[in-house]
Amino acid sequence: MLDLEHPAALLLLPLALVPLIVHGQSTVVHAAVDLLPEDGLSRAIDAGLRLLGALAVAAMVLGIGGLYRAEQRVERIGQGAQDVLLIDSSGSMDSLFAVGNDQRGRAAVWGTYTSKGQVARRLLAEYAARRPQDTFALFLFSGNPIPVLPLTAKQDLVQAAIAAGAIERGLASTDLANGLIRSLQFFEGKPFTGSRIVMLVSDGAAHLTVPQQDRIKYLLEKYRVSLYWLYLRTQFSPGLFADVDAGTAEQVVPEQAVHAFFSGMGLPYRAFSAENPAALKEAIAEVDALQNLPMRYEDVIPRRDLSAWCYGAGLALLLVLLGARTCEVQRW
Amino acid sequence: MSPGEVHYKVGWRAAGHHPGHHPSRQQGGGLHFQHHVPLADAPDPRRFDVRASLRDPFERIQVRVYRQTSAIPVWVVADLSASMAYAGTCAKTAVLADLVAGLGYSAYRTGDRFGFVGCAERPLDDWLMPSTMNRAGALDLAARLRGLVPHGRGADGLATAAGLLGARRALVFLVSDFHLPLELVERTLLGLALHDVVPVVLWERSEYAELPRFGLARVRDAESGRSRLLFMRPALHRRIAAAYAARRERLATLFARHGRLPLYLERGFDADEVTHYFFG
Repeated sequence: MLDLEHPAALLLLPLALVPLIVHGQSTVVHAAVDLLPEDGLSRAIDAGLRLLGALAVAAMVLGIGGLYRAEQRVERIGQGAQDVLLIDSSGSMDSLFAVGNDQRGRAAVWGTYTSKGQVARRLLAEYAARRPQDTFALFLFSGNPIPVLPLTAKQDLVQAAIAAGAIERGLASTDLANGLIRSLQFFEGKPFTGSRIVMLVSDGAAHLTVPQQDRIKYLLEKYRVSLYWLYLRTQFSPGLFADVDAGTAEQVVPEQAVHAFFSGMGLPYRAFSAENPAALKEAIAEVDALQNLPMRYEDVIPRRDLSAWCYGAGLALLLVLLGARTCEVQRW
Repeated sequence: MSPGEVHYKVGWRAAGHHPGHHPSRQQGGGLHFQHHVPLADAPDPRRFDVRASLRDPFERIQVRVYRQTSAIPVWVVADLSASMAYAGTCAKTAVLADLVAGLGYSAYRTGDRFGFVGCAERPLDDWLMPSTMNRAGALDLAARLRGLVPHGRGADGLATAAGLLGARRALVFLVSDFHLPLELVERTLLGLALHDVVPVVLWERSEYAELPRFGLARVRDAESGRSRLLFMRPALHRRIAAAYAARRERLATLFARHGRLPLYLERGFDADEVTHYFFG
């Protein structure tokens, strides 16, 4: 699917014939050229040099024309789970992570500590890297969910998308329910070809209303999605699994309520604590255990500019010709 | 500086009356005894021969008859096609000019007439010097030849040059690089069959022996203008030398069939070299 940016440049292409007609070398006069023996090697070199000249001109013309390979859509077959990574990018993710910030105060200066968001991205990147056969989609959410990446198996794309979110601090609000619902709707109308996973990475500092809870449960069931929660505990927070009475929990650890709701749905759900170094391994093992079917998906190979290659080829050919030029005999 | 003097001799008897240095068929005041005749037939009593007269059964008075030496015409028939422009260590036209000056001077010194015919596609009027005893003619011609840049696209005129030389047997120097079709050389020699032809081959050692050592050489033919790329390397050097050796062989065979071996001037004109050709 090669194409040209400026097809008018092809008008220059007949110039490629010039080296075939004109040799362009400096000549030495000889009294009896016919008496000099025929030489196959010399003739081959002559033809070769002319051909190289023609190719050099053609390559440069294609370079001027802006040769490119057009965008292509190819169907690929993947084997693995369909992972939707749902990253909480709200302001609460900027607070200190439970581990590794021992010497810091409650309101440490941004950039001098390890935030929960940074940890989340590091873990996700590692998770994605460990499962190269999976396809990944990426959503961010704070106030509104933002789709970042459709399902793709391209690791570098996934890694870049994960890294892209880690630039600065997050937004103010956290709408966990909306993000979750939106990411679940992503599966709408898609063929079920492998295990579906929503990997929620959040500190869970949010409340779910009853209608939202119903909707989440309904969608999880409808699209047969397993929910995994990579939980990030804030410094000094009791965490998901601490035994706190309900009243206090609502004030201090609202995520316990969310966790309780997820656990009580009767649907596939696991929460992993990011503090535990084995959590990631556990999560991966868990996903490995799920059944996977081969899945078809359409992949886009982006358009690629080939003019630089054309110029490069032209330059290389010209260098060869230059070498031949320096070998020319100026005096017989 | 006087041009080098060449001594030459011919193996045949000249027919001209004009006295000179070459054996002649003419009776006259020479030293070559021919035969006796009665005094009545050759009334020159100074040549009275006593013994021959006494030996004669008819008792007639016998006198000796001698042959004179005669002058011969000397011609240079030169190829002035573009290939003669080839200049290695010295231009071929310059060698030709030296040769013309030398031969003209020598002919003058020997008492022979000297003429010149220059040919390209046809004999060139500008380069025709009729046979003359004038010494300056050859020197003037040589000076003009030195400034010549030949352009001729061929040397077919050589074959028709014979018509300009006259009917008397002459010593003809046929000067060319002989990078001609052998058929044309043959025709030329047949046209000049009446004369004593000395083929003078102007070759340069740089044409075939002292070649560029290594590299790409696009050689252009001086006459046809066609060019070829040659990748110079030792193997090709050997093949070029072999091609020239084969050419030399073929030319020698052809010239020998027409009476004389070729004279190669590869290091410019050297009068002694030419003399050596006749007396060596």
